[in-house]
Amino acid sequence: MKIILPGPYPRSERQIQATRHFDRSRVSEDDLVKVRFEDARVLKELQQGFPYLSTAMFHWQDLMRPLVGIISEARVSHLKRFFETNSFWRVLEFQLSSRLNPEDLQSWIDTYLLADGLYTVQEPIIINLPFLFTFREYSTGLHLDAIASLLEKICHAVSKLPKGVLCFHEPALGCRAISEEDKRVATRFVEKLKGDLSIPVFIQTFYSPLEVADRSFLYDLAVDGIGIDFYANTLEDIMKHFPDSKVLLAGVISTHTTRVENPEKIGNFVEKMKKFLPEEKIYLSVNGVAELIPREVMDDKVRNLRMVI
Amino acid sequence: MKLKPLMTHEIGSLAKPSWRVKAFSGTPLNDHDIHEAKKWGERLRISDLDSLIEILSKKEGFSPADKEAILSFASLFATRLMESTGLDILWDGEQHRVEMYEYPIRQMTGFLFRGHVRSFDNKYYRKASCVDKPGFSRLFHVKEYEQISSITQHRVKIPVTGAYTLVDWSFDEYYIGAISPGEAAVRESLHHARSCFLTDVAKNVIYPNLQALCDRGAPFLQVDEPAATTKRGEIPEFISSLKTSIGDLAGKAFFSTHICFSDYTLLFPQLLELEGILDEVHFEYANRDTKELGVSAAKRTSYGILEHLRNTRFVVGLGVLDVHTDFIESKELVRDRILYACEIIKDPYRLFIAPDCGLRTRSWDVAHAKLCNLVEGRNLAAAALGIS
Repeated sequence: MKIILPGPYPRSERQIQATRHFDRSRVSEDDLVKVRFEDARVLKELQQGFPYLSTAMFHWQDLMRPLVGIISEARVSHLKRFFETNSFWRVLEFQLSSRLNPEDLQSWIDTYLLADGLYTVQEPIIINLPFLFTFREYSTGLHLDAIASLLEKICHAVSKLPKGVLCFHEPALGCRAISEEDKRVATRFVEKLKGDLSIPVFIQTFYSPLEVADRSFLYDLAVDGIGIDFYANTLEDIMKHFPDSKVLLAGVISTHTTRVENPEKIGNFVEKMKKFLPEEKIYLSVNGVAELIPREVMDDKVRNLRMVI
Repeated sequence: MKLKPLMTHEIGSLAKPSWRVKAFSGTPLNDHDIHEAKKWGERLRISDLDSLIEILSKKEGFSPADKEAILSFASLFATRLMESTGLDILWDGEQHRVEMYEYPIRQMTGFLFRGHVRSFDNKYYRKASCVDKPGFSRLFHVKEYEQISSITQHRVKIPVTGAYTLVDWSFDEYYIGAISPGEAAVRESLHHARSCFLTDVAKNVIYPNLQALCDRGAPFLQVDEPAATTKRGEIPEFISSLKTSIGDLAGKAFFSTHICFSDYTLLFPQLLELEGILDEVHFEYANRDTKELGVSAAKRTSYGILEHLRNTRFVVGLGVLDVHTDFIESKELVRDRILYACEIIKDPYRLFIAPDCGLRTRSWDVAHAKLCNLVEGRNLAAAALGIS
């Protein structure tokens, strides 16, 4: 049994305070970096023994924003609610001529993927990116094919980490109507990616119940692992046809409540799950964006889960 | 209650002056803070300004009595600022409150603050968890209402954060129980927990507070529900929570709801169930509108939702000022936004004119200029319509 923590991790109260002070020029950037580094280091310790490591993404305001640093003719625009949460992303405006800008890539990777140097490219880190439909939801100026093309190039550029895993986030599935043509674009995108990349590719869905058509689309994607929110979906519905060739990222840490999960209930869930998948294919995970839970609580939830397994 | 056509009001918040913020946060004041207090005090003709300056001159180490006085003065300043703009109905910019979520939660029982979570960019808010059945130990808007209504001759409108927003912006540890992930009725269980949470907050917290305000003659009560359309599957629950919150108080005061930065189409048709319960429905519009003059759909691009409100009995609260920018809307722009709305709603008695939302992200200079132009724009529109 494994645990994986995809997506942004919550900042500690100390880092939140330091960020606030930095924004108001009360502390230096060095001071902020020290606090941020220490915060990430504590998280790294918490993940000892995990197959893939969250780098916390403390530099990321959301899953889209930093991409303007490596895409030409991109700008940050207005706020838009992040699906049905009380948090907001900024929409990115692209042009048809927007391209991956390789000049800034290495420093971008160092900053946004390697947590101020806490991690190296040799470590099994999780690289988090929005999947196509979420990318479209929070951008303007590009149709889905162009998004796929751009994301493909981004994935190639940032996935040169031999032991890492690429994890896409797709809360639009189950929440938005996705046309058959869009699903075909997504399917081709993943197939091409899998043909080119040597690292595993996961896709994390969350917040919404997945109807039959969504599940069918998801299970047929050429990804190596699929994340499911088990507070929006029943085990029965999901596991009936879940492909046993794929890893399941079981969203059992709830990001909707600060109540720490009942270990017995998680244990029961795991036992039921083992009837469908071998243990090595079950990764216990979060059911949404971990960042939306206060840090202390999230750490408690992870420690609790460690005890269960 | 005698209303006039195109009545003007604010929505709630105004920035807190630095001297009020620092006095409570423990940060020493500087000369600039005191200068600002003097400047605005003179501009707003605050009586007994000298006593405020004397207190502020300590710069730090304020006693509880000092803080009480500073708070009263902040409320007075903000109220006078609102009066000076010419608004018909006003509040004190929520000077007594930390902000719209934390303030009521702090007054309630059954909640514990768990830490900060991100809202957007590097902005975080302190989020609480419901750990027991929600209640309150004392009414939490009455003192505020009595203080503010005692310092102004204007009609006052009290913003009250609504049940749905309080619930949506909180975690639930109490009602949710120990729900098992993936269980057969996991969604139903979560939905039931949330409904119970919502009903209890509406019935046991919001209703009594609204009732107490009604009993004291509060004329205008605004239920703030920015979270109303967050979850598209919960519109019925939102409507139901408003019904429970207002209950048999309908008609005893003028009730409005303020919702902003949302997809308002999601509220229809269920919003119509609130006719006869809610008097005014206020939305944000200016944020998405063009800045060009004109009384056409091509110019007034964000006011299309008015079509949904046309044949209802609601007073339409019309947002005409974008609160997220220092751009000062000209009185002509405000006029045109109002005139366009009048073409749809027809009856100017059914239009109340306001900013999109609270003005706490704007400086007082900007807020004041915007609100003055709101009132002047209203007057231009009234003249164009041949009404006073």
